[in-house]
Amino acid sequence: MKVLIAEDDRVHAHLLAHQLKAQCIRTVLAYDAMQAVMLATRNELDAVLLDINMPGGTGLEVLKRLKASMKTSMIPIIAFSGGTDPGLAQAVRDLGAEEFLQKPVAFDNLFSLLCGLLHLPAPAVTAGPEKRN
Amino acid sequence: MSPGPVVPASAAVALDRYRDGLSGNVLDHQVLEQQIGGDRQLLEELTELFCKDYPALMEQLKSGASKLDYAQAAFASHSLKSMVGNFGAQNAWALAQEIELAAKAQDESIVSMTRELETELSRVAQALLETCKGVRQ
Repeated sequence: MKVLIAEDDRVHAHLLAHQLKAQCIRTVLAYDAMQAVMLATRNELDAVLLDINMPGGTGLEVLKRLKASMKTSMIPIIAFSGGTDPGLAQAVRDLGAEEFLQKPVAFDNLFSLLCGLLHLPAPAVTAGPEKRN
Repeated sequence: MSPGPVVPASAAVALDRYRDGLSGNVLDHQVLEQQIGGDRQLLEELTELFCKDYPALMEQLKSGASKLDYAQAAFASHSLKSMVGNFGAQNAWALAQEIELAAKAQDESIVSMTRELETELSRVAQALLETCKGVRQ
């Protein structure tokens, strides 16, 4: 299972990658829009987690491109944003994203949605990040 | 379900308390613990990323505010808000949110609020470094 995290906030991207790794999900990270499109095209992905506010083009442009490409159009996308625009969730869904979450994202919510999209068994309890200490 | 990194509904309250000088809590340690799950190495990695990345965004915000470039200020404050939200830094989150909204409304108050946020972000960085030290001991 491999997921692309497209997020310019490196703290959030790193945290998400760590939390997903604890659930045995591999990740690739993109910190801007261009990188996101490149990595989505080059990798065999099961899902994309996409921040809508990224430098080098917006997440909306990434979303449009991924949904327009034969190679990536079927990859489920969970978009998220800390923006305050009330119409954003609908705009994101209209562009083809399967889900939209308002930031700050609670990992439990995100992981439940991801499990639903990937037809994985729903998490029974909150699983914390893998402990390394 | 966990409540998530920062509960936005409480941000306005956090900002009021901060302005009243009542809030001494730079980080919400409960939120932080929820995020890192007791993983000290992860905390150190996230702290390092934060300390590396926030100064450039702060510079971008200061530059945007000084030129009254509202688009630049809105983008930088939005990014800073996202970043501090990971740590449950309520005061910083609320300030960044207020700057973002003011920038979108083309309100010159972003200049003074940017100074406030810079001070608060230094406190967040310091608190994170101290938390790392405390965890290490």
